[in-house]
Amino acid sequence: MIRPRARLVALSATLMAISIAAVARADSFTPVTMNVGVTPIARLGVPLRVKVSVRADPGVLDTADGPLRVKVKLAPECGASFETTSGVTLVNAPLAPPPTVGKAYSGGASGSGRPVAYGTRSVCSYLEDTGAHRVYASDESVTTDVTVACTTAGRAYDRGLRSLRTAQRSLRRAHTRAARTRDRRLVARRRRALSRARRRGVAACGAGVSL
Amino acid sequence: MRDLRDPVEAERLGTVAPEAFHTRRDFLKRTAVTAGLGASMGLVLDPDTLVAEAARRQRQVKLPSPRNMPIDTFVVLMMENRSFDHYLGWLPGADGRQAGLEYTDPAGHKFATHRLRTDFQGCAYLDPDHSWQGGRTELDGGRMDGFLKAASDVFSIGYYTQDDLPFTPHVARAFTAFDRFFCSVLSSTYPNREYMHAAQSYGKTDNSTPSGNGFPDTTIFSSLSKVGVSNQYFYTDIPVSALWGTAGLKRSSQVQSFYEQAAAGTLPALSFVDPSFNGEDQGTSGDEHPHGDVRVGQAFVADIVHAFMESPQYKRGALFIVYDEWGGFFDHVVPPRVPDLRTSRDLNKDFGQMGFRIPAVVVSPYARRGHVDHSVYGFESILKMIRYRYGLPPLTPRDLYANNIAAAFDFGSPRFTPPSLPSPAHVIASACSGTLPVGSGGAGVGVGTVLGSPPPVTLPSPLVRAQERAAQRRAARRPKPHDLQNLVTSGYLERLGFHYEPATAATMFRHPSMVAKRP
Repeated sequence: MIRPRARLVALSATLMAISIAAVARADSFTPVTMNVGVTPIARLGVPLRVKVSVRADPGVLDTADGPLRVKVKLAPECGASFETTSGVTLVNAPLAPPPTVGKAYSGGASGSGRPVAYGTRSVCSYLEDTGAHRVYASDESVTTDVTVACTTAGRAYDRGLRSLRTAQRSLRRAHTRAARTRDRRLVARRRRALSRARRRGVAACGAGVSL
Repeated sequence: MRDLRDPVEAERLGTVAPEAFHTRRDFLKRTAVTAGLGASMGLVLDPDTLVAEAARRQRQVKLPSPRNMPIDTFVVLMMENRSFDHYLGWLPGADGRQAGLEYTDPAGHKFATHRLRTDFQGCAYLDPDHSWQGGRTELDGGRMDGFLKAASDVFSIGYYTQDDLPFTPHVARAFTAFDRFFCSVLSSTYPNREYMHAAQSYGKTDNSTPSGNGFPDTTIFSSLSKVGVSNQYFYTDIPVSALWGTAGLKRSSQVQSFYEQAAAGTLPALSFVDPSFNGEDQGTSGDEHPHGDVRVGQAFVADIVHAFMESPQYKRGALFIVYDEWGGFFDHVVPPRVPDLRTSRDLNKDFGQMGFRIPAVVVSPYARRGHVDHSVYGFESILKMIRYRYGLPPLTPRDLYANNIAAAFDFGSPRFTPPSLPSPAHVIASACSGTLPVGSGGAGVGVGTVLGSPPPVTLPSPLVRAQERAAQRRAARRPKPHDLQNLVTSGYLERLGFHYEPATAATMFRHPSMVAKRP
């Protein structure tokens, strides 16, 4: 007889495995899936990282006219292809690893780019071949919001970090006891300030945005 | 009910049903285990992935499983020859452009886009070029600047605003409109209608009729019939389904049957509805193709939409209003190249090159109200939704790779009360002057229903007036029946045993008595 706890653990593990498999697997109705990983809030002028996972049913990428590339732009509106979308390029990289003929595929690409304007932007992702720029899959569902609050909080954090480093350098160079005491206090103060700035940054930007 | 916090009762339950009874300690342990699992998965997965996945889940409503999809009546109404910018470029929230665009003709003269206002026929102008080659000239390698370089004149860069058309603006604002809906192939009527039925044009790039007994029946209708799902094609005068020979004609009925079945709640699972194509130069065709009067087509669309919304099947239905292609009218969004049964690196041979955007709207209780969807769709996207609902295999690679248009629906919060939409007058215009009647023996809606000529066109510049005069001369020399008229004149329909009869007000409209009479 299975004890309740063991049963619960087994059930949780099974559910988790099923949900991961559901995310991972393309199916006959969606032969190629793109899963775009990007933070929902972003900072202006700071690299925004994007990770695109591609999964495909066996054989569906075999008809490509050339090597497949993952291409992503951050744009106010997505065009129907990468070339016809105006915006900042986040990713333009070959699909890695390259697909094998007749085999199911799992791979992707990643990259980053700096947002140049505030506001909600679409993360326009395309899987295109390099021959005819034929679009094998696209995703326009993901957006990221380049906010003033996050940018300001991020800049405050950056300033706090620079101040702390200056204070730490000063402490390392201090020769007298009085100077060391003063610099230790300064470092502690700036650590506290940085900690406050980080908390504000996390509140404004959410988790995942590099501060 | 006994208090479960009572220690005596707890002890009793612990003895009687130890497996069903959770102590507080058990509960905490299990919660901790679950939380631990979640936390450990959080450590395994990249934080960006977790955040993005959470955000995506918030935005995206998962499609219901095919069996649970609350739509089992699909209707596709396909009109003719209008581009998105030309018809809906004014739509709030959509990627549309109308005024302020400039195009250059082959002589190097620049012309600005202009409002057509009450010119509902364009008699003074050429039917804009929307052929396989003409489309590629207009595309101009993605520059989208060739709309006057193909065999077209300034009519092709005219547009209608919200106030000009009597029905489409209202239905587009009331339900979900699509601003990335491209016609399937950068070519004319036949190939695009073939893609709507079968996700391919059987290698045809033009409006030529198939040889013998038509194309092999690899249509969505055939797929549905194989699994026992009802389907029907409704025509008004010329049945496009005849392109698939006798098999296509077998599933065809006159549009009056659509009205009757809609009212009775006996529509099949899939209905394709086509307007009347013949009588363009008489101004009486009901398909909105130049030089027919768009108001006739608008009245026809309104009739179909009202019939659908008043049907008992509306509550589990979806009606797609689409146009077969852009008709040579300007648009500013570059269409993509997509996987297809017949792809080529050479653009001139590539069936994967989609055509320009068309106006497209979905009417359904599950359509978001007043919404514009920005995902890339084509006719094959509608086929994909139908396939998804009824578990059908793909027809061709085109619908295999297409985005499923079901993603545009909101299945979670239906609104079953239809919005109030106008019922435009069934206006019938006069024939374009100087044109020859099509050889159908008085084809059209018929004498006694003509309201007169449309008001004069407001032209933007003297250059345009000069172009208009030249176009008038050309148009006067050029009888221009609809390309589908070939099915009649070539004897193709007769060979299949179909007796063609021109449309009349009585066969086109739900309430023919509403057609205004000549004063």
